[in-house]
Amino acid sequence: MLFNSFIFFIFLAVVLPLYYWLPRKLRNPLLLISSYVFYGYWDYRFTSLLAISTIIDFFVGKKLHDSPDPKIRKRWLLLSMFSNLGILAVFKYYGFFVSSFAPLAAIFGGNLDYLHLNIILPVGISFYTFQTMSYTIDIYRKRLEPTRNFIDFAVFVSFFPQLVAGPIERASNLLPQIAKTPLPSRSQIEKGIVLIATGLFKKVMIGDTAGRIVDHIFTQPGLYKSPELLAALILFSIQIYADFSGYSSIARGTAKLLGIELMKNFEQPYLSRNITEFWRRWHISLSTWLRDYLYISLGGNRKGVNRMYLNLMITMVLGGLWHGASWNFVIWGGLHGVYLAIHKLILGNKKVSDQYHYTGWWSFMKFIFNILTTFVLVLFTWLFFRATDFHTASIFLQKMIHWESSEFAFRFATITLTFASAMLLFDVFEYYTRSHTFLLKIRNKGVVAGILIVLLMVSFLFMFQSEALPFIYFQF
Amino acid sequence: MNKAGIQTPSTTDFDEVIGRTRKSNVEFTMFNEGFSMGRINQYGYLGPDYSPEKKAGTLRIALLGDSYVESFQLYRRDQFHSIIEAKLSQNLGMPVEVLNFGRSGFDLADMYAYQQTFVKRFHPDLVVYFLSEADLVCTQTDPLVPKAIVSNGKIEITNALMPADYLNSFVKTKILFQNSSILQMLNNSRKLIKEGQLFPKLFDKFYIQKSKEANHAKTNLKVPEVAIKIAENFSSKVVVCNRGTEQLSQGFLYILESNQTPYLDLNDTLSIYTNSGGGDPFYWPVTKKQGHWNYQAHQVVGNYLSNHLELIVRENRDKKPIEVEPLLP
Repeated sequence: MLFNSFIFFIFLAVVLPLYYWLPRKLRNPLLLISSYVFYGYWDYRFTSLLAISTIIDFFVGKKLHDSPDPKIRKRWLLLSMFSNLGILAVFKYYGFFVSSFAPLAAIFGGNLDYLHLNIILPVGISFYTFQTMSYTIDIYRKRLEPTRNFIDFAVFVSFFPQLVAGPIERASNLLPQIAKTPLPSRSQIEKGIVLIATGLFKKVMIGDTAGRIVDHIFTQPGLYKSPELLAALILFSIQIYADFSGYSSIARGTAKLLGIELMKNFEQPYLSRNITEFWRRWHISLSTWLRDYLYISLGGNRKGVNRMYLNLMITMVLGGLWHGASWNFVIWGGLHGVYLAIHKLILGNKKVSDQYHYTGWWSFMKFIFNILTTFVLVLFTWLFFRATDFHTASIFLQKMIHWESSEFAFRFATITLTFASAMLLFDVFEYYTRSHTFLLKIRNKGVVAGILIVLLMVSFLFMFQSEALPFIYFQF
Repeated sequence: MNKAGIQTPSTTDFDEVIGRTRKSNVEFTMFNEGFSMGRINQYGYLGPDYSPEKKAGTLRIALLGDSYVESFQLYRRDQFHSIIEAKLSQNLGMPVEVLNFGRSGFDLADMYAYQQTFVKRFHPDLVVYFLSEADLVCTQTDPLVPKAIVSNGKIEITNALMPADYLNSFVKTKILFQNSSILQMLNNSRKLIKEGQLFPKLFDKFYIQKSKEANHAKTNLKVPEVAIKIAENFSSKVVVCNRGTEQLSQGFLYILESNQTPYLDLNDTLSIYTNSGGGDPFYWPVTKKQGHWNYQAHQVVGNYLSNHLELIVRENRDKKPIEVEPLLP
């Protein structure tokens, strides 16, 4: 079920009153059923994968906790890893490995055609797999007590607001909240509605509308001229941010209406002054997951400088691969790894502050320059993220080098600036107020209500007359 | 929203003579099965500002038709109009101007009325009518366009049949729709609701479509009198092109033949293109929709028409009959 569909809001209109009305002990069963309906609406067959992952990790969690022997504990952990990563490997990476090894096999006269299978990628598999893996790893590291309530755990894995595209929650944050089955406070309801309205607006009116242009241009880049391609790339950077941060806002808003707090996934990433700051602000739940469960597990910065750089590269490349089984994502992750390594090298032992403080005109100019530099670096990586193959990326690069003018350059510039301004407006308010629900800072509640109604009505209107585009991160 | 290309406000206007027309000097961004940007020029049609006064030594071709000719799905530079213009200019060694007078929903009678009230102001050397079998029915569904009627055995164009109340409300409200993307979106939604899309949109998979009785019987079209009179009235500048997937009615073709009106058929060319592995000319891979001609089809149509129009132009020049063979570009 897509958040940007009317059926989701009808679904919500049924689930929320029931949740508020039912006695406490029945709320989690309701959430579990609702979450499976939400997931199964796309394809009911894949609810079985979700159930398998849930059952395995629930029992592994208990065994990990109950076993004092480190060897046995390690075996239980490996079982969890193999089952989760095995599901991922089969459903997400099988085709990639077969097609990647096919040329190698061909050199030796082999033919891997018979290994090609048309496997459908289950929506959100990477998200819930990482979430359940963090549960067993945390128990293994003795940082978390396992839950004894299967329903609570099943809700933790399948919690519908964040099931298919995150934020990737930690059990230590989400499970206790689920166990309490709280009702939302007035403040949570207010914030929840604001997050849903702003998130929907970002997703539908900024992300989807920019995405329509991006999709056409990236699919047939040969038909378009240099300024149009450049505009499409910038629009994609806006689209992916609006799409994903919009989704995350709706997820957080929906969870708030159920009395549950989810972590922030974005903190104005395009206002970052360097690449390290960017990764503290972009897809925070994934970057912290990779840091805690991959980078640190590899040794982090504890095993010398060279190993630290290697660990960084491995983490970023695998982070890229997490997004999709394609070499484009490997390049995307690799480029970010290189950026981070260079920045670390330049930085030395200096700490990076994530908040800018105005100390004069010069500092502001430097702030803007750093933001733009970081954005250009990130923008370049988005080319490999969005291009479906190297051919597309190479057409882009060629047309950037051999610049040709377009009669629509001004129109594209206007469109790009309009989208950028809309997104920047949200970001500046969020940055300035340090709140995603900055609208609630307006004292006149009538004005707030008016703005929310307009945001929702415009979004609904557009949803009605257009076909819903799925969230970009659904495919991951 | 207009600046961002999200929703172009209404581009329609009203003219006492032409009826519902395009608002001049309007830039638009269109999303349907394709995506395009363009401009309605100062004269109120799509494409470059070719003025009514034609420069000496220039060949001017007017294309009349429905949304297939209008081609909102792709940029002008990729449309068959541009291909014809470029190829004919090169091959004939003279400036060629191709004017796009396509209008969504137009049938033969609409096209004829449009030619008489508007297109002829531009002094075209050739007028190409793009027709499908359905266009011959001449229902003229838009109430705000001049009607082609048969009176005393002659074809006449009249504006007297426009419903006054509808016209009044359109004239009074058009300024709002021309300047508001939101109102345009509301209007689009209203149309969708009218088409019965409310419940399918709201309930998605839960909506159960009532099965409609499929009408498999091939309509045996009887060409209406107005279509016959129009065809009989075609001047020597007119070329008729079948853009549909079926043959035009024999009765209509007979009149064209009697009138010595050149007739081109895109059906064979597009079929040959598809059968030779070119793909479905109506399929749009980005939006995964069936619709109007896609980029490749425009190439095929453009190449085919430029070859055939060149022959017709040369034939008219030399006054020597040249046999027209179907060509695969």
